[in-house]
Amino acid sequence: MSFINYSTREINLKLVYYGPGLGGKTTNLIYIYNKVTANNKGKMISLATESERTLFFDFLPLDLGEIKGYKTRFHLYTVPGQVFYNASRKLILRGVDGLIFVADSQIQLREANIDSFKNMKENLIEQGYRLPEIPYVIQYNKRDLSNILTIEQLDQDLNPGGIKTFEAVALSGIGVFDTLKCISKMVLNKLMG
Amino acid sequence: MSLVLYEKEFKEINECLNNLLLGAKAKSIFLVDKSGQLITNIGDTVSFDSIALASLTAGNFAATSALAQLMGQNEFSLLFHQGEKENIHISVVESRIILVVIFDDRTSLGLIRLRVKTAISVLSEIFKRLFVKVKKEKELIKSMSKKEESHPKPEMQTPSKPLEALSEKQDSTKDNSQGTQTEPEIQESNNKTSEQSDRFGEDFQQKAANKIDNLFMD
Repeated sequence: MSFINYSTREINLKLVYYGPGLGGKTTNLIYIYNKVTANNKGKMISLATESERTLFFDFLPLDLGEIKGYKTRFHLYTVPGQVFYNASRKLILRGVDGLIFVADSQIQLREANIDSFKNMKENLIEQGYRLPEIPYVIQYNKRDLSNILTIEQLDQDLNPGGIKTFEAVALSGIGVFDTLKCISKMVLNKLMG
Repeated sequence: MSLVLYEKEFKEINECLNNLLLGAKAKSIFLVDKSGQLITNIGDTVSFDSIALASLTAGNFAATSALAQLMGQNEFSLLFHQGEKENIHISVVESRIILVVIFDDRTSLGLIRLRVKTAISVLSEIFKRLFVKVKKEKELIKSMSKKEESHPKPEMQTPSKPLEALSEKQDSTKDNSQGTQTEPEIQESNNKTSEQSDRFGEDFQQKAANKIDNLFMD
């Protein structure tokens, strides 16, 4: 949910990284955190288990600086990907302005991608949203691995509507900022109507 | 639904929180939206990372609300975390806003609870009014867009025209019976719409896109 304060001239927007477990959502955030200059980022919070699996969420505030006198910020969240954390996933979707679905390109994770995407749509409906009404992009992650689905197969499973997709290797940063740039602009465009 | 704050309500909110800070002898107070956006904070805000506190509070509150629902409760309207030196008192305003009061041993939980209760009733009134105002403004903008679609503007029309029409429309929808919106406030509301259409135009989008391109780089 966007937050506009005319008095302090602030705009805050919430982006959520969604997708199956171990798909690379947190890796996206870590890469962004490491690359963005200190002035433009806040503290990154990871509520993770001892084995570094996301337990509740990761959070990274990014400061775009002033645009026409308005301090503009993006708040980046990830959801826990593991199936049994569905209650937490629903909570993170509250007030979302834009979504990045991070799919795992590995062949053996085809079903997990489909299930997670379906789960995202269901959880959005529970929060009172419908996917077509929210800006979203899909990132096909782990494109550097050998045993992966083709883009056509991934599109067929996750992107019948032909929305914007990005090939990525989040670990080395390939496609991470392209994805973020695209969704950030989509969200701002929607806000400006 | 977006949360929009105007100058008038923002001042009223801060005034209410200041009274609470002094009356309850609290250390600091944060007002947070349920989605994790920090609305405002007062008191000692330097000791904390405000943005992180807002996000974690919303997460905490959301998780506790989900627990309440599991138990067949609508929501736990109040949370209290006791620390060695500092404590956090969390309560909800108008089902959408979270009031976080941080206090130490200079005061007591009883006093905090008493003052928070009073503050919540004041804040509720402000937010109720704000939500109505935002809704009205959105409806006006929507009806204006529909009007423009059915009667497209001539190419050389000045940008002020739709705003004048908006003022007329808004005056006609003014509800005096509620007694909550005075004439100057309506005017302020119109001005904000004017500012919004000016600031959030293509120029804003272009500047934002440039910032995004410059900041989000490998």
